[in-house]
Amino acid sequence: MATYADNHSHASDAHGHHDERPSGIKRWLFTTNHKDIGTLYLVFACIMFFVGGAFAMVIRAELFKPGLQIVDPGLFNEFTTLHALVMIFGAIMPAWVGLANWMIPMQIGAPDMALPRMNNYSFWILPFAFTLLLGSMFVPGGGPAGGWTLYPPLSLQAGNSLPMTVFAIHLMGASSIMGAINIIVTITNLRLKNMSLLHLPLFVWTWLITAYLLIAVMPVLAGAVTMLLTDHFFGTRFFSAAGGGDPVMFQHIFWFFGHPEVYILVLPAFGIVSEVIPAFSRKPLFGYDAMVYAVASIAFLSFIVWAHHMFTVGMPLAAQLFFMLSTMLIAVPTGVKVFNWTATMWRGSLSFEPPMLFALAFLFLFSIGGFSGLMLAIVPADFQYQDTYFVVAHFHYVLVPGAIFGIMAGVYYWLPKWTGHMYDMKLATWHFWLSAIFVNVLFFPQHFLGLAGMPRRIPDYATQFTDWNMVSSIGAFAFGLSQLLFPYIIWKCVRGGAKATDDVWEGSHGLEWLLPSPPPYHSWETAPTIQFGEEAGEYDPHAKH
Amino acid sequence: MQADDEERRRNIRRLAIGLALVALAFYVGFILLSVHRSHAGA
Repeated sequence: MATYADNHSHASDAHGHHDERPSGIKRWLFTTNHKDIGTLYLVFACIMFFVGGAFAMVIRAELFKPGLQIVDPGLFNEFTTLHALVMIFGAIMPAWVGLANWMIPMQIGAPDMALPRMNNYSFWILPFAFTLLLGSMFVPGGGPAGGWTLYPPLSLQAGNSLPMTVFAIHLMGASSIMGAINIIVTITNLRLKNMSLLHLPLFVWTWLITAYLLIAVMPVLAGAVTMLLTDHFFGTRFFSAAGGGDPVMFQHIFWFFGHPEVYILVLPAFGIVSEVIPAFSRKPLFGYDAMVYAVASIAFLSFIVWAHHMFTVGMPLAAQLFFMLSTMLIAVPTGVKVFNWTATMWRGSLSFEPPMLFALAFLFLFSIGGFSGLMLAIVPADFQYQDTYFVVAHFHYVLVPGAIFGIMAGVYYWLPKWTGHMYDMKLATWHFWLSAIFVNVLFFPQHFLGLAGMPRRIPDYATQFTDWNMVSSIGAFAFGLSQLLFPYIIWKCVRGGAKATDDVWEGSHGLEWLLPSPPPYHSWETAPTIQFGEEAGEYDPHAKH
Repeated sequence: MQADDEERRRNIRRLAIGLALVALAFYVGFILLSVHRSHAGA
């Protein structure tokens, strides 16, 4: 755990005269300021969260009862595909990049990101990418309908939407890679000189590892969809068995990207929870080094487990065993993290403000997603669960109370710092309880449906599945409605409210809390003088004795 | 101080270009691997 003492005068004193900023639309179009770009990312992610959510509402309305009532099956398939693509690439990933933009420079004592112009480009690519993706719904043949995994030959049967989807994915990939390069370069070169890697805040650490994952796997997805494109338009036969290709090879390539992608979506949440739990337990994080090594181990393991997504394609027994055991191995570093968070709370002086509530819900509910993941890792069991609602329940437990609750914990933790105002705690607490209750009403019954054999991605179902589908849909509508509180709380907080103090939370700990609330437009123009660990007169496990 | 800044700028540029090349290598590498595996490059 990095401990430090602050012996510098407040950053704002040195910055006040530099606080001028451009105004109007130009400020947002041409900005190179990490806070502005962070805000753009977060607003974009919020809009996409509701677009993706709207698709989900239609899906759950259709599944409320058996038979076809609201959308035809083709449109249902488009909505399931777009729901996933929008939520993954439009909501969760941009939200993490937004949080990274806001917080990483402030947490490492840097004035801005290392490559500010590239930062601007990487954001402004996104609206074009998603206009292209969502616009594909209105071309002949409709939008992409083969699922977010884009498996050929199904995805190659799409109409004019295929090149639009592929180009949109290329743009999203370029944006992510530029963002990742920027984050790695910033952390490597712009952190305080005496801030060693093992003094980095956990959120910065998890993002550093996430950025490496992005650089390794986004090009792989880009390669896969490029080959889909050439198969469709230029006569190649990469994935066509008739032409000497192999459709299963696409699955291998896709999941070589796809599994690390899951960790790209969730690793930064580990970082946020590792910031929030110590703050509201008023104790340092238990096992800082173990946390760092656990995150790094999870990232490494994510590259050698991909085929657990495709056990049923038929593979040698040795491969099945390897991918089953390597998948189970992930439970070890994950267990380390869960035990460390629990040990951090042990005998702490706990309080339950909204960020802590979301972090605690993350801890419990993400673990449920982990347990169902372990069940899916067992090859013979997976043969039964494959393509059922059990899988849908599993990954939604990982991504909604996992990644999305992590984002909410982060926003509620840092919002007073960003705006200089306290938000409506009562309303945020309501937001938490409604979310936590209805996310379970929504997704828990899907375990039962899956175990009973209900297939995923089908708009109709046998009547014995009706009851749990109704419960799940009611949970979905209530969860969806309760999310409207989130932008309202943020909007209200941006507009005004009780003045936030600089350190905001009693137990908050880190460089960002040394800045005023709200921080100046350009923070840390002069590097702060900070003493870490032993220099600060506190025990430092990394210091040489 | 200025030399320090210059060195940092150089390091930033080098690392950014290096990482971009790694990304490009993954993109091209996986396509070439697929050409090899599928015997269907053209």
